[in-house]
Amino acid sequence: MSAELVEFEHEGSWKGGSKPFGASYGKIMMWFFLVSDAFTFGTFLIAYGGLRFTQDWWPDPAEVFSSFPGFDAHVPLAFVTLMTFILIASSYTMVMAVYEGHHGNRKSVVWWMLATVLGGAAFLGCQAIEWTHLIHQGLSLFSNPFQPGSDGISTVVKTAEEMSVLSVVDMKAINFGQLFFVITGFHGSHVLSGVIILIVITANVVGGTYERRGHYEMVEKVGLYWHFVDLVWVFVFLVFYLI
Amino acid sequence: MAGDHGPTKKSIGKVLAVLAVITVLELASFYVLRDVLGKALFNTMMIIMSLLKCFYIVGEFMHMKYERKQFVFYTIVTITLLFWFIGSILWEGSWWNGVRFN
Repeated sequence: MSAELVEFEHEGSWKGGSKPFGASYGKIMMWFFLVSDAFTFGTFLIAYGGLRFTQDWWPDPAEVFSSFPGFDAHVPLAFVTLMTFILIASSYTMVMAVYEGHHGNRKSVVWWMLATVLGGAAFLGCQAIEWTHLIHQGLSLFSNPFQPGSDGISTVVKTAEEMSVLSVVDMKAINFGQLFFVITGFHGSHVLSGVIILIVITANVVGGTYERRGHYEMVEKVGLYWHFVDLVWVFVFLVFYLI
Repeated sequence: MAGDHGPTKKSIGKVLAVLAVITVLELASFYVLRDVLGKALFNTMMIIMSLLKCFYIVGEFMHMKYERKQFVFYTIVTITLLFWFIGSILWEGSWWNGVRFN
C-alpha cells in the first residue's frame, strides 16, 4: 500500500524533493524511460509489419515454431507458450516482491526477487534453445529455409542444398530471419539486463540498503522495468507467433 | 484511483489468473479457430486479446490503476502516437505489395 511507504526527504525539487503527479522522481523517470523504450520497440515491430505487408507470402508460424525440445512431435507454439507462462509467472513474483517491500518484509522480498531472477534466467534459456533450433534448421539473417509449398500457401522447410539453388529473387520472405532474430534478440537483451539489475538489487536488499533507506522504491522501479519487458513480449508473441 | 488504495494479494492474483487464462485461450484459438474464422477475424481477435493483456499488466502490475489521472493521461497519450505510425507504415507496406504483385 503506497500510504505505508515511508516518506523521504531530499533537498530541493531538482533533487527529487517534490513529487509531481504524486509519484516519486525515480518512478517518473523510470516511466520516461519506458515510454521512450516503447517507441523503440514500437518502431521495430512496425517495421516488421510494414515489411511483412510488402510480401505476398509469409511463413506459417504453425510450421516454423512447431517443435518442442526433447520431444519428436509436431506441437505448434507449445514451447513459446511455455516461455510466455514463465514470463507471466516471473511478472507475478516481481509484483509480489514490490508488495512485500511496501510492507517492509525484507525476507519475503528476497525470496520473491530470487524467484523472479530464476524466471528470467529460465526464459533466456528457452530462448537460447529456440534460437539454436532455428539456426540448425537454416534460418539466418540472410537465408530463410521456410518457403512456400507447391500449393503456395503451406510452409515447407528447405534443406541447405535446396536453399543453395534458390536465388535471392526466388526466396520468399528473405528478411524473416533478420526481423525475428533482431526483435526477439532485442527483447532478450532487455530480459538479460533485467536479470542483472534484479540480481544487483536483490544483493542490496539482502545487504539491508533499502531497510536503512526506509523504503523499497528501488524494487518498485526495477519492477516497472520487468513488467514492461513482459508487456513487450505480449506483442512479440502476438505478431511473430499468433498472427 | 489515486491515494491510499493499492494492489492487494487478491487483486494481484486475479490479474495473474486473467493473464494465464487469456494466454491459454489464445493458444486454444490458434489450434481450433484459426482455420475456421479466417485470417482477418482471427487476427483481430488475437489483437484484442493482446491489448486486454496489456491493459491488465499496465493497470495492476505496473500500478497505473493507482496513479493520478494526469499521470496516466500524459503517459498513455504519448504512446498513442504509435497508432498513427502503425497505420501509416502498414498503408505504405500494402501499397508496395500492390505495386509488386498486382
